[in-house]
Amino acid sequence: MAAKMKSLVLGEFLDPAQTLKALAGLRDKGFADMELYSPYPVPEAYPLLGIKRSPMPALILAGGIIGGCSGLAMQLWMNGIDYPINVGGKPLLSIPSSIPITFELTILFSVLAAFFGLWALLGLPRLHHPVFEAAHFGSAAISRFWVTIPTTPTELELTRTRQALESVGAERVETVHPQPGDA
Amino acid sequence: MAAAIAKDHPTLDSGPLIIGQTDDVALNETLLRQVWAPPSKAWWIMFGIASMGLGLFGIALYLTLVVGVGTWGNNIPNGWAWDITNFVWWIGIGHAGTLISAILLLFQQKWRTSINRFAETMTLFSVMCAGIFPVLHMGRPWFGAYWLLPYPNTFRLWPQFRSALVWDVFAVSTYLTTSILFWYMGLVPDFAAARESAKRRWQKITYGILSLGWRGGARHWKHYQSSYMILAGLATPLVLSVHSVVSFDFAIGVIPGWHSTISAPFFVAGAVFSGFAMVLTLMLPARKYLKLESVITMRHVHAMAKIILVTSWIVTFSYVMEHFMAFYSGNRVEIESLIFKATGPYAVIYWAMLACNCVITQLLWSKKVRDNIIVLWVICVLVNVGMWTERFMIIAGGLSHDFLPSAFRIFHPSIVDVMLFVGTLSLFSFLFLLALRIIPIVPVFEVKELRHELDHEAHQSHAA
Repeated sequence: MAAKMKSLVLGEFLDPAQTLKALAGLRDKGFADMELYSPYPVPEAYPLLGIKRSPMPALILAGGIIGGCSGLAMQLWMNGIDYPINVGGKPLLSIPSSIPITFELTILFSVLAAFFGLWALLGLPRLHHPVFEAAHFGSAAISRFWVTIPTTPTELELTRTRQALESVGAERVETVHPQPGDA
Repeated sequence: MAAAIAKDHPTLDSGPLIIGQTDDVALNETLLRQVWAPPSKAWWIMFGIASMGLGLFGIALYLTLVVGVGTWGNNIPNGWAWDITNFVWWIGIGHAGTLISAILLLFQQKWRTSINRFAETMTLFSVMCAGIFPVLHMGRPWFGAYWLLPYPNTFRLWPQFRSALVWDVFAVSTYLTTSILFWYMGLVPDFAAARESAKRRWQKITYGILSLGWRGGARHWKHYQSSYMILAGLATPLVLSVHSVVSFDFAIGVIPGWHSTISAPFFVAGAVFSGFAMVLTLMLPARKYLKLESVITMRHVHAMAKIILVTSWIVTFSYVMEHFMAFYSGNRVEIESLIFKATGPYAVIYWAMLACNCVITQLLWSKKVRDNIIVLWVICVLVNVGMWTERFMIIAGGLSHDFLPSAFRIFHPSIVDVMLFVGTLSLFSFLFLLALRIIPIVPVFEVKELRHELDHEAHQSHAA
């Protein structure tokens, strides 16, 4: 709820090195909940932004386990119990002949978890977001690095944040105020 | 490390990965140019030819579905012939995409970056082309639903999971799904770049929707990369399993030349071999006409050519083993089957296979040959021809001459067979030409990241 009321102050930076220095500077000044938008990943920034481990591996593992178990159970139940087909007297409940499909379904479910789990985790697709209100934010997808700081929308606080961004070398500073309907 | 080795051995330094392109804005411009620029005349001509081929494909499809598979050249014993040859060939080609994207990503091969999208796109379309053949071969494809897919139906029937053909359905459909998702996931940040550099409103809206509203936040990148790396890890065993499962279709049969434990690795090596050849066949002209020489450099071309040479040797070794084992087994049927392949009515195809897959590729030892784009392109086309003949020799070569002399029979393709094959080639070209216009065919964000890394490295080695 608190984030809903806040304005966003955005600063544009030229390259990763400058951005990292700026992020460290801003963190030392006590700014929190910062976010970095960049055209390609900058892993060095993750500790500065307080980003922790990704839950993706656990999610994908869960997908794989579900896929493998249900794949094996499906084959054994369908061919061994519900509709037993005797081919050349071979065992009805056979593990070796079930391995290829069990393997494929393990991979399939992991992949589905990796793909759909990722978008669910990121909250995408989401075609609009307050950052897109900033006039020049588009450059974040092409060549520039944008640092955003949520700020209480009082003149004093906004000025303090803007000045802080300028002092760490932002090329451009923009402010986005919350709109009715922003989540 | 690599740079240090290259410094000590100048012959190992095969050149830069990115030429020029000093900043990200220029790079963005170069990589998206083919999406915004109006299509060239050459593109329209190729697109026109592909569309005509697609018409031919429509006619062949109509004949197959309405008249029946009797319009094909298949006979008894050649129950599988032209169609399954095409299936195996297309699936094989579809292996290079995942190999380049996933395995080379895990091995941190930087040269994969500019070409992975290209190879993935090719993979997608070739797996689609492959899938058409077994589906049509059923004659009445709609029956395939309850033969192959485990869904509760009113017959209360389930598929027979102990059949390698059902394994194949699961392997190929998992592979297709994974390839599509992996490809799309890689495209999302690039669609965002396209959204921001689009000039027209409808383009902004289209790419905006395709990009899912990607913002490039650091948290998003973190989860994205984690997921992408694991997808690569999952795709690696998957790609090796797909052609192995395809080879089981043959290996668990009793036909001489099929019933062999070498099949799985042999098929996978052949798949990589033909896949890389196909990537180069498409990439060499595309890099020239789309002016991508600055990001797909001679270093990429050399690396690909070397992989073709290596896999050519693996394939050659498999041939040697196959022949040796046939004689070593002392099995009369196996030996006669082999002699039939080399001297019988298919002999021309057999010797073409050896010439294309084992002999011509040896030219790639020479740096001069690897530097000569035209010669290299011809070699790659011949490798594709060679791999097709190999699939044909395995299938028709094996079936035409099995156990009972009274059952020996030669396969001749019908006109519908030829039209279907030409049709899938056209479908593939049609889709690929469209893709060249719609998606960034060289990954934009990955090349920017690579440029940044290379700059950083150069800076560090300079400082040291």
